[in-house]
Amino acid sequence: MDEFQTIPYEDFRKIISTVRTLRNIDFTYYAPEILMHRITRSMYMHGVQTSDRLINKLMADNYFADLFVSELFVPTTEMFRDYSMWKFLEDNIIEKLKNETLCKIWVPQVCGDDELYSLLTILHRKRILNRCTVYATSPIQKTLNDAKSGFIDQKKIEISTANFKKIDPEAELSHYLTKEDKYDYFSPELLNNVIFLKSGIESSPPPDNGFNLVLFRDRMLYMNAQTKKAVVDTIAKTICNGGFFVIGIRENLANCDFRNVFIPVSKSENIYIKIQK
Amino acid sequence: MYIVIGGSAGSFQAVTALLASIPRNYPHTIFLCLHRLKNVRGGFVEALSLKSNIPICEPYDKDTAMPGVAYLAPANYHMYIDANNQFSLSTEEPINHSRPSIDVTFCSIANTYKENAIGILLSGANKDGALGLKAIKDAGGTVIVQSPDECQVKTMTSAAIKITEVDYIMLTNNIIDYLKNL
Repeated sequence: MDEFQTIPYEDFRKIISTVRTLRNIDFTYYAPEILMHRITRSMYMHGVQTSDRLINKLMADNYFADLFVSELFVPTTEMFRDYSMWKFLEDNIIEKLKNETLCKIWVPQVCGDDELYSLLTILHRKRILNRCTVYATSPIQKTLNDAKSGFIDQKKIEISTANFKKIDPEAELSHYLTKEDKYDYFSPELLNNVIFLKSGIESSPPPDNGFNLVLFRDRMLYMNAQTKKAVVDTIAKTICNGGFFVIGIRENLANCDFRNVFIPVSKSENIYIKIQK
Repeated sequence: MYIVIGGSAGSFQAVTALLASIPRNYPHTIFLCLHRLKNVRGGFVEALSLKSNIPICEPYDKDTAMPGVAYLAPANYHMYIDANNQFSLSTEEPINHSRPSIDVTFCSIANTYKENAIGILLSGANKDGALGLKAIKDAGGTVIVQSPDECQVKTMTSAAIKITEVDYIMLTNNIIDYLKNL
């Protein structure tokens, strides 16, 4: 077996159904092509040869079930991915948010989470972190715990540092990291400003409303078109007028019909502002 | 038909030659998965478009693929295509140190288009694409490998030939003739 091997569609449905029964997470909203690859990749990594064996293992082994479900979510790749977006966000959007007395920010579906750490870094650089309430949500407790721990894979440090240097050649990412037993962690001090909540964006109410900024990059890639539309609708309602919505650079809102709700602030960086309806 | 072309080190010349030979209003859809710099977003489409007769674009997630267009996998994203001809982009882990990975796109094309898929693997310095080409062949598609003798770097094509009984091993000029006569 290799990680690209496909499984019959019936087995695919059975696996999704088992996950829903065991963990109350509905993966039918997921982009099927990618979900199929996530499942076969995980089976390959754990040496599980058949769908039946996978289902038996999921039902018999709680730890494995948690691990398997967390592996279906795609983790973030590095800090400051698409550094020109982060530069734009820091120089234009965060700069504007400095005028707010209090700022509410939401990072839905954390997984990794380099996006959250990058955001905290620039909020700190702009000296507004202490005036911000930052929510980080995920339906999976394990991914929340991972994000909360601040652990950063050693393999990501080099690229993250290079990206950060592109934003500010004088800046040092190491100032935001701590080392513990040879491992790198994102600054616990900055992470203390985050409220972590177990919540699925497609299944639970949002953690708050009146957000000034929602950072939701490269998460809609993994949703089918129908769910994507519903999720954008939910997010749109939580953002205050004049608040910002940031999505991944290859994502689009074209099929969501939100032209009357969001207008682009930067088309190339995919940053939108909510306008008065 | 759905033609997918994969390439890495040393493939740029062959890709531009293929694109330059394809006539306007080509009735088939072309997907390009080429290893490229992760953080350089612009310039590649423009470079490929210089001599191409058909439009070349980098798809957004959930865009629909159309005939007569060549779609280039965007930098730092894997590219899948589903049964509705819709693109699914992904930031999953690199495969064979590559994102976009040729194996990912080739396997997706194999699953989606089966015997209507044509996979073409060009010069490259790692084995990415070999498994994907096998998947296309196993699904009933046609697979073509650029002649290793012509490749600037033959690792990729040799890896594919090793694990798959390919339909054709061809020089770039012969691949051009094949595509024109489809």
